[in-house]
Amino acid sequence: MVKKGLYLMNDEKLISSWYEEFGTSIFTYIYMNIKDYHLAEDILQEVFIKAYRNYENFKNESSFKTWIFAIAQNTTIDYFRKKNIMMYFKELTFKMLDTQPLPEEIIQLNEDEMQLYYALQKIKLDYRQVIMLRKLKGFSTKETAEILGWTESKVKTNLKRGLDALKNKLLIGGFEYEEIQRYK
Amino acid sequence: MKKSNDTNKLAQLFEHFDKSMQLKPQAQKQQKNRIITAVQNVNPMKPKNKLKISLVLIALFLIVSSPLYSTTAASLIEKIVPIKISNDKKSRLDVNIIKRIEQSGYDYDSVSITPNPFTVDIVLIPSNTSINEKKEVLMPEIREFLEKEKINNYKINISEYQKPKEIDDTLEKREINVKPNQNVQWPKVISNIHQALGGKTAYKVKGISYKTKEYVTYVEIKTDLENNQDSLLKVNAMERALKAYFLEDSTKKMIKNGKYEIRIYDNKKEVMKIIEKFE
Repeated sequence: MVKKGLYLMNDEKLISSWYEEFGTSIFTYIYMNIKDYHLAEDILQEVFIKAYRNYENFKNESSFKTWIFAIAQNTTIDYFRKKNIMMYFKELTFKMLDTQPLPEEIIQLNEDEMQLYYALQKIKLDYRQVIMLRKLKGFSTKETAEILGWTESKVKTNLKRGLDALKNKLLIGGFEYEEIQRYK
Repeated sequence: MKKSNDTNKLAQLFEHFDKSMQLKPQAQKQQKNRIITAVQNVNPMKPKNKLKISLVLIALFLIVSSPLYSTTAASLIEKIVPIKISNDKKSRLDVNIIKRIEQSGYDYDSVSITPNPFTVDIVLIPSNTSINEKKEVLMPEIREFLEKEKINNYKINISEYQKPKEIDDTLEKREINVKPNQNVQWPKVISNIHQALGGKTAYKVKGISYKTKEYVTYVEIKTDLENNQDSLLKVNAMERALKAYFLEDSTKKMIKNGKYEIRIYDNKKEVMKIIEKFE
């Protein structure tokens, strides 16, 4: 047997490198989906355990980032299926988010970013997920389709509709597009 | 405002948003530590996972024994065969086999394991018990042990010690023709690698050889693997096991922290992976 301590030391480096490269990005994706910091942490942990256990099955057919995000997506959905709280999820999405502050562990966003954050919470889950993957996390249409288990056509359609819905929410929330000029 | 301008501005906001939506350093550190601890706890497998694994194994058995059995299923079984290369004497196959021979109440002259095909050669000291009776006792014991070690492609030869015949001069000369500058610990290292990889059909190891030249030891692992994605997974598993093994202090000591290059070949003798240390 390989000595446990040594074996783990190597694995620790592997997990550490995964976390440093993708950890926060995966976490914010999960958190934006479920809006519960501690639950998001539990799911993130599960994602890493699954990735670690199944790493030998990673076939390099997609990028590692796509692969681990697909695990994150499935783990999040599985969690809700297991707990049978999809209804809770929907209610949370539409009713509770306007006033709920970001947890103290997350660096505070500026006003425009907070508006975007709230607007994202108010749109349909499918729209939110496709916008997050395509626009925030930088995945291609094909990669997004792989992560969500959709066709590329569905990704494109939902992205277009999602962006329209998001713009509406931003306008309803008093967001002025001109304000974004300062980022230029 | 024009739609295209709005989209551009929104795109910029998206870009800034993902960069801004970050955890505080302390929270990141805690999260990372928590994940590493959690992963450590699943290695080795927790008892609670054993039930799941047992169920998976039962399911795999049913697949294999059913008319629907396919090469895909066989491939899946092959993939899960673990590799752990070790210098720990307690985990050595020959030491464990000797233990079983002794527990059965027999004396042995030698126990050796040779590659290609993976063969366990046991030479017993003659006694009042017949060799056939000893085989009946030992064969199932050793088979059970090998299968427990995930070795599924092997031969077992059990014989009794016989007075040596005249030694073939040619053979003797060949055996003692050891290169003068060889590091004496490398054969042990190669043996340990072979014990971990040999006899497991998944990895299709045909042979392992090595040579030391100008202070660098070149190890060649020849396999019957085809160069495809499935094989790549297996080669990656071999790479991880080898890297872990060569990081062990005891291994470093055995090779005197020397330089090495390990090449894994496919069935067409093309290099599939090179693992090297030239520092």
